[in-house]
Amino acid sequence: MAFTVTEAVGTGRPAPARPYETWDDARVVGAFLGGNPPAFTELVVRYQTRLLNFIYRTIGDRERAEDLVQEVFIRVHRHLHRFDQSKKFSTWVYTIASNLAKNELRNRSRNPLVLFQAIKTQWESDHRPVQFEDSSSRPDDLYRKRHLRELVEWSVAQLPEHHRVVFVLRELEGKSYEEIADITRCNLGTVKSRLNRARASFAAIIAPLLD
Amino acid sequence: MNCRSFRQHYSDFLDGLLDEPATALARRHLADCPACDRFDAAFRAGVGALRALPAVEPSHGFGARLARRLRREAATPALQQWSGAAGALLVVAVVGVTGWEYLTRADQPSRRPAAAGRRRGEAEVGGIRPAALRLGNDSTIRFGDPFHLIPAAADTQRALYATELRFDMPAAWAGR
Ligand SMILES: [Zn+2]
Repeated sequence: MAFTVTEAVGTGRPAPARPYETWDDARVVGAFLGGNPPAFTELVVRYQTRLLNFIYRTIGDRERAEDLVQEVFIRVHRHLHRFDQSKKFSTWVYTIASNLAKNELRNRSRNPLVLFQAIKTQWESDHRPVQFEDSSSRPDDLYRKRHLRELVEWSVAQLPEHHRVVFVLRELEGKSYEEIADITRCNLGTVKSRLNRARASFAAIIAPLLD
Repeated sequence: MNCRSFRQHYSDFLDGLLDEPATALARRHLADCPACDRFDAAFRAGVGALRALPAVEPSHGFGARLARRLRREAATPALQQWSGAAGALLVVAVVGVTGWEYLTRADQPSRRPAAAGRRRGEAEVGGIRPAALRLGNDSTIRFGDPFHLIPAAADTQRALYATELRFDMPAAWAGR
């Protein structure tokens, strides 16, 4: 996201665009805790898109994912003073996001009305006409592209919740095994076994669909 | 290496965590086994497609909404927040109890005719027909339309801790 001119709200004074942009997370966190509120803005700018994509790919609901990202930042803001600054901020923020995503998946599986809504949304997306956004592509290419997109999204959604989180963190977020272990509060062995199972399930689910 | 062993070590193989002899065995198995080759090709194609999905961006107004929530959180006195949370718990408890009562009553055949007379999706709780029920998981269900399940506004979240806050919102967040 590009920030050009910013204004310190309520003061009318112009503020420099992303003054902490070149700082690492630890310094930005330190600046915020040291009494520089704009440093929090930098943390939001840095993580909002990453967290949105992580949560969206995990729960499969774009709108709800955005609500949960908001909740992540509220919690970060609320508890940052208790954050152990010897640890990585990104691990901590992903832990909060991952817990919220897992809770959301659990609530969904328990709430028949939410499931009903998910089925309805899926039905609507399955029956909507193909959108030809790009006139240079042939309709069958576009159809195949959209179809493939839906297949992979659907395949991820079939993974059990604790496999899905690990799978998304590894395959889409590119996190190391150690980081995933820290984020999910599991030991390395559990992460490796969940990832292997998630990958095998994903391959098994998608293989017949790609034929 | 057989298929079972290949798939057991597939993750390590993908991430380059197998030692050299084991990697060579896995490669040889992949070359000789059409089933595992298909498995590997499907995985790589699927993950490739997944990674090629366009990234989603926060919607316009995301930052402004967050700034509002943070300001509201800062402005809410701690006592009020706790009483708000307690009130929310009470509402959830009352709704839970009356909802349970409704559901158990609805299961009794003798109660069915009255319920069947209403439009599909309408519910009656404790003799009152509510416009909406707020659930504990931040969702509101509007009765009368079973499809109408809307996520509650993010700003209904209650802060449990008072915080001193001055949140500077970039102009780009305030709406163009
Ligand atoms: Zn094989």
